[in-house]
Amino acid sequence: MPHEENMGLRMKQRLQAVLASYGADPARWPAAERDELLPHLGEAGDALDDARLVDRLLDLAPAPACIAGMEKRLMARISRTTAPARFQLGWSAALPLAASLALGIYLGAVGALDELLPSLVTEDIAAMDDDDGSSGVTEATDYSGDQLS
Amino acid sequence: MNLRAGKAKRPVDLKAAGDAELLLAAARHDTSAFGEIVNRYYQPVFRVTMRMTGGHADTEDIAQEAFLKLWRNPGQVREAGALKGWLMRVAANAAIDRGRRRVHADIETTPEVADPVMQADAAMERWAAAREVERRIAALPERQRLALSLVYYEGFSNIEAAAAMETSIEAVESLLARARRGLRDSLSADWRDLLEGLNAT
Repeated sequence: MPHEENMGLRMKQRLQAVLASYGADPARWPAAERDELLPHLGEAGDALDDARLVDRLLDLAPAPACIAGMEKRLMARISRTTAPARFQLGWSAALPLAASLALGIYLGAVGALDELLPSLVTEDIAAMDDDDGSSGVTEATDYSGDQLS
Repeated sequence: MNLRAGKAKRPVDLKAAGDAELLLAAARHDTSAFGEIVNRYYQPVFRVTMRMTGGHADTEDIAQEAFLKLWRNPGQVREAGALKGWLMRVAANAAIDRGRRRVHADIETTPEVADPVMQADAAMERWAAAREVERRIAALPERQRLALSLVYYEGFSNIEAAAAMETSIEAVESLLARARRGLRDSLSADWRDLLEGLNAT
């Protein structure tokens, strides 16, 4: 098949495919192919008639009506949900942290921390430490010796 | 798109600002900039959502959710040029999800349209025909309906539609061709005559 004839056939097939997908209005066709395909439109035959029929059918369906105030309702929802949340989160997290920090600094500075700790408990802990005088290091040595002998 | 990079100021002229500038401003919770995004894209997103839901009462809520998702994290949009497609995809996917959850679509509960040939009044005929076409479109498979909504009704190029639907251009063309063929084949001979008559007036 000569090259030009082959090209013509391919162009016709592509035109039919474009009509089947995008319809009869060249404005809807892929921009990159439009100029190349337009001269062949007269050869499209039934494919063009079919595409026109479906276009008419689709044009009958009305555009969905947008409801008044939709954008305002969306913006109201956005400002209601996000902006206050950021503000509240900031203060609600920062205030207890700041208060704890201030209290800690104050108690440390005045030396009141020792008085606030329950002395009986701390003494008990200290006594437990001194009970047998073992440090753990000697026990480890003894154990090693047992194993070796 | 890295929305944390730089400290760009709010665009002076929001109407003239590109989507990238608006997204950067929106990432800093600039409601005016986000309002401009809403002005630009809310109505087309709503229309596509409406076509996907078949006019269900959830439509506005679904469209709003897509924008709220963007507002919460504008960094999800990797390419500012794809913003419109991103919004369409999020809304359409949500509409499809909700549609699947509903017990059989409203198509089945839509009252049958009386035979339009029997109706004398031209306005009534047109109305009835429009309802019938809506019904046929609503009955198409979801992906075919989405491709048709984006390309035929919203004027997306094949490249934009492919990006919005996260598929190839060839797949979009195939979906469009199947949608159109399905609509054509579903028409009875009476309907064909009626449509040709209506469009001739």
